[in-house]
Amino acid sequence: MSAAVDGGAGVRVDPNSPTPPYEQIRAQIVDMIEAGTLPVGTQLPTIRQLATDLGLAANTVARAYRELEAGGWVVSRVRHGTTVAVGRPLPEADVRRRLHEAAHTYAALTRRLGVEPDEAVEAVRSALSEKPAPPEKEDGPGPDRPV
Amino acid sequence: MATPALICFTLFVALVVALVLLALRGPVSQQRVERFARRQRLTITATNREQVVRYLATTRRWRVLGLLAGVAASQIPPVPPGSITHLDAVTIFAGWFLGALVAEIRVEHLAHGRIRMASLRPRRPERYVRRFAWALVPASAVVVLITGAATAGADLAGWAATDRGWATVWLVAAIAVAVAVRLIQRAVLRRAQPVAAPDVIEADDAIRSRSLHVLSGGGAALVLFLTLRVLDNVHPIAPGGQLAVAVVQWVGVVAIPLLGWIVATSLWPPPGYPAMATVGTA
Repeated sequence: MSAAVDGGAGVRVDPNSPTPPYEQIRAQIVDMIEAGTLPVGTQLPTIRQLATDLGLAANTVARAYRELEAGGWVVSRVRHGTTVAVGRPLPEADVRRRLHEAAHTYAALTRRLGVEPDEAVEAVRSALSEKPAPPEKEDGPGPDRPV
Repeated sequence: MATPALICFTLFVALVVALVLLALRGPVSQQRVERFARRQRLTITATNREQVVRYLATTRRWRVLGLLAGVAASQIPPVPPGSITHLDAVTIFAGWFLGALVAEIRVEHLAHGRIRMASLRPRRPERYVRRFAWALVPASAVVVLITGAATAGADLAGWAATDRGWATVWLVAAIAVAVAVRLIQRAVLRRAQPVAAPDVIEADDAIRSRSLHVLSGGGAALVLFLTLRVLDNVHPIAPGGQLAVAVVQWVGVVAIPLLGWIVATSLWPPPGYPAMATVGTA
């Protein structure tokens, strides 16, 4: 759903979709945060900027941001704008389910590639020991009222 | 009026009218497009050329109209009486700059498609102008406030005789200009930028950057010129005071246009920097 945009990310809104525009925005941003496209600390555009770029009312984007904040996905601070929040803990059952899904997908891939189980496990260990990439920082306060 | 003089005058008026009509309606020359591309390090493509030409035509039309309004206004007998030439120059420049402000409001935005798409990258001023240029208009407003405070202080202390009414008028005008310029600069930053082809986004960024440069340079110059008008209404009594004010005015008359011109026409991104990053894809 999201458009990859030169080191950043993008959202798209279909005004004819039965899903309300604010929910389309919220869902895409959540997807991007979960996928790591928007790492922790990434600053989101101001409500006005996103509303203007999407040709929507500011209230629509404001509602999407409010829902994201209520869900713990982003934090809004005066002079810092809206940034992606530190990952919140998921319910235990969700964590297990996602882990199993990812493991099954990975196992299927290793079988297709003909990789030995030991080598596949070693690759996972190696990946887990790598440090995650730092978020893209943009310094200085923006020109708009922080959202 | 003698016949040869009348003919010369008529020819002059006809030439001016022709030049104005050309500026208002005429095509945008290839040289202007190339100069814009050079200043913004923009690659002109078949897709974004029309976008740049429309921007240049809009700004030229409104700036010329503003200039004409400024020339007309400068012919009104100067109030308060005083340095007519100085007042004329400021009035003509103010007219041109008013046209530049209107042009920025009239510049066309990129159109939205059926499916709305937007980048999540925040648009910040430092992406389009140097920090120095972005801070210039507020800094000029601070200068005018300090000048106002110093003028009031000198007046109260009896060090200078001030025409309080006109000094206040120019002071308020300078602050009003600074506020108006800042609001329009923010509006320029907020102009819609839906996701589009990379060269279209690059041209849109270049247009935004050029607008902010002109507003920063021109706005700061106008605010500082109006600050000089405040000083025109201050008549120091203290020894050396008149000389100090005269020196400030002469330095200002030379330095202000120079500063405005340098900022308004400076290259962006500066040499040695990479070209502006593309922020959208089709």
